[in-house]
Amino acid sequence: MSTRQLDVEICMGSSCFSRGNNKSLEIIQSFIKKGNLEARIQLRGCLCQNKCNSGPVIQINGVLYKEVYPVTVVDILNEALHADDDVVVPETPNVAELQH
Amino acid sequence: MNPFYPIYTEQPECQDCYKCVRACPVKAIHIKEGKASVMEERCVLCGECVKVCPVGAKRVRNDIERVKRLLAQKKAVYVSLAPSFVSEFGEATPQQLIHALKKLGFAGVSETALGAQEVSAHIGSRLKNKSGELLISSACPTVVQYIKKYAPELSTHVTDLFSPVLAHCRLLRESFGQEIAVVFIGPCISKKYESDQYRELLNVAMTFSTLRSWLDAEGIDLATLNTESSDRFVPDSAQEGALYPIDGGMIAGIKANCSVHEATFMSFSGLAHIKQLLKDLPTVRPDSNIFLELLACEGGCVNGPGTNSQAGTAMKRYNLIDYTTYPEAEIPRAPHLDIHNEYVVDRITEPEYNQLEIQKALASVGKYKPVHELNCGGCGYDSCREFAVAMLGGKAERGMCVSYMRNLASKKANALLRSMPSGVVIVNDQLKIVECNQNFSRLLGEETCLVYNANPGMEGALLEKVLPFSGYFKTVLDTGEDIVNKNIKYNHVILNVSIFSIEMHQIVGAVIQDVTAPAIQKEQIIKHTRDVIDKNLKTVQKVAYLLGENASETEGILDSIIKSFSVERVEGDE
Repeated sequence: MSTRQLDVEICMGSSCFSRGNNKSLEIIQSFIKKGNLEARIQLRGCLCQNKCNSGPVIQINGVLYKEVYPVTVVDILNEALHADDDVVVPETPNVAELQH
Repeated sequence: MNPFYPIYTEQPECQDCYKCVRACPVKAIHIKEGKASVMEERCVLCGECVKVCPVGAKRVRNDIERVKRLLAQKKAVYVSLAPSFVSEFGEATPQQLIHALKKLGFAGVSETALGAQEVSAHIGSRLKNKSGELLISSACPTVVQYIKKYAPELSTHVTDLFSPVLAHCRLLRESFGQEIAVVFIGPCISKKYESDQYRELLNVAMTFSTLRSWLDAEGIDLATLNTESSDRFVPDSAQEGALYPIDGGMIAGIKANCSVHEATFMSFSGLAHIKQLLKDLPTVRPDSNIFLELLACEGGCVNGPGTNSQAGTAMKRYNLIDYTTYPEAEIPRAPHLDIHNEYVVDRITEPEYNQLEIQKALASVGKYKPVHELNCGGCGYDSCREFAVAMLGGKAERGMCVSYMRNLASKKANALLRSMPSGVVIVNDQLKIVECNQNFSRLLGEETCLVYNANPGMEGALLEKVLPFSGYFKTVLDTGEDIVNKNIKYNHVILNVSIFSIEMHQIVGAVIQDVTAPAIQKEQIIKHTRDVIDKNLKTVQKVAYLLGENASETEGILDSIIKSFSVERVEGDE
């Protein structure tokens, strides 16, 4: 069982938001809740990253995912959770309460 | 609500028709503020709501981006192609379809029917070894969901085997390695749920419709593709398993694996039908084996919600039978994969309500006696009682009852008409009265009053017979322009008339007041008095304004005179 920690940063800039990150946000939140992954996934929102061209964008542990559609976001999270990574990212106790 | 569920509603497009409620065999539709949404925990993913929605607001999750992602990152993505491709892509040969899929980036194409054959082999050997058993096929994921949720007492009879697609995924992974990805392409949306549940076996499930639009977007025309000898199904072509998507097709496969005498075989399709036939099954204790092949889509998977083909079931069936070939020599097959699967009951308990609660709910939509219960089905529920129960359960609302809403609307209009101090009349394009109130007849004199009393509303009466100025009504009907506050002399009174369109060129209405009537006079006097006061006040304000302006001007001039004098004095001092 992988114990990889994820630091997920979802772009809430207006372009990414309206092109799918609004729905992706809901999906990530319900993914965390359903899988009881609160301790492993830190979800944060951020303002425009000037990556609108390849948006909607999401960053997981510093890796940029371009053109993330609501329907692919679960696959991305699953892959990231189970990616073979020996480095365990230290827990950051900074979970932003996201509202929209 | 799970935003990732295979069926969702495009909320802004949904508008009160309740067709999905009517079509849903398990009433898994929740209506809130006139918008429908699927109740995931009740839904069995039969796709009926998607098929019937007249505005296309019910959508199937489109997984194409997930497939593209897989292709972009995995080395080997295999297609598990549902056997109904034969009826869906009739314009092309299987080789052309394989060629096209490879062009899209897939490593190979395999027939889901291979998994079906594995399932048949398992069931065949099981039937040989048992007697007096009732077995229900687990091939259709929607039927399995239905039994788990709504007929859990039958769940022990469901064969504890994977569905053909999951069996096929296991087979593909044994053949090509565990690290491959598998994408199912077929007519079924229920497979999306299977994929969500068994992601490690089946990566993504997508529909034929999605494949079609993908091919269109890539500009691939199936019928004109040149094929190569390597364009064939891997690891092998399927045989009798290819019959699975039609009624009785699975049974044909099983029969080939065991003798006809080993069980009584029955096949049924259509969820509404299946719902009905499952009712008395729990009590059945058969002497010999009974095997039930149940397919949720009428006519079998060939008519699934993910198909585009408009061909009739008979033709689809013929196509499949024509395509399928199986040599007697290879059958019976021995099962060689472990495809054991447990189905856990997921019972939906319907809340119980007592008579009083139901009556109260019925009364809230104006149904006080059994005769008021029309059972018209307009709300989507078969009876008013079912609707009342749904309202109590919070998944239906009062506005869904058409007769209640109609009554309410006409009651509102009636109350307004009755209590209005003016005369009101509504006429149609023939200048015949549709409705009028009593005040209207009073305005027009005793004779009209008598007519009104004999026929309240005076429906059908010719306007020109009761009114000398029906010409104005004609003008409004013809031009569509309203006439506002027209004073017309009639007998000894003056009538103030406003005529307006209710439905352009079809129906006009008029509000008529007797301006000579005492009440109106009083009102007019008050109005005039107010006018005088207002005018007075305005004049006073104007006078005050002029006075003020005059005063300030005078002051300015005087100031400047004073200044000029004092400057001289100061200069003189020096």
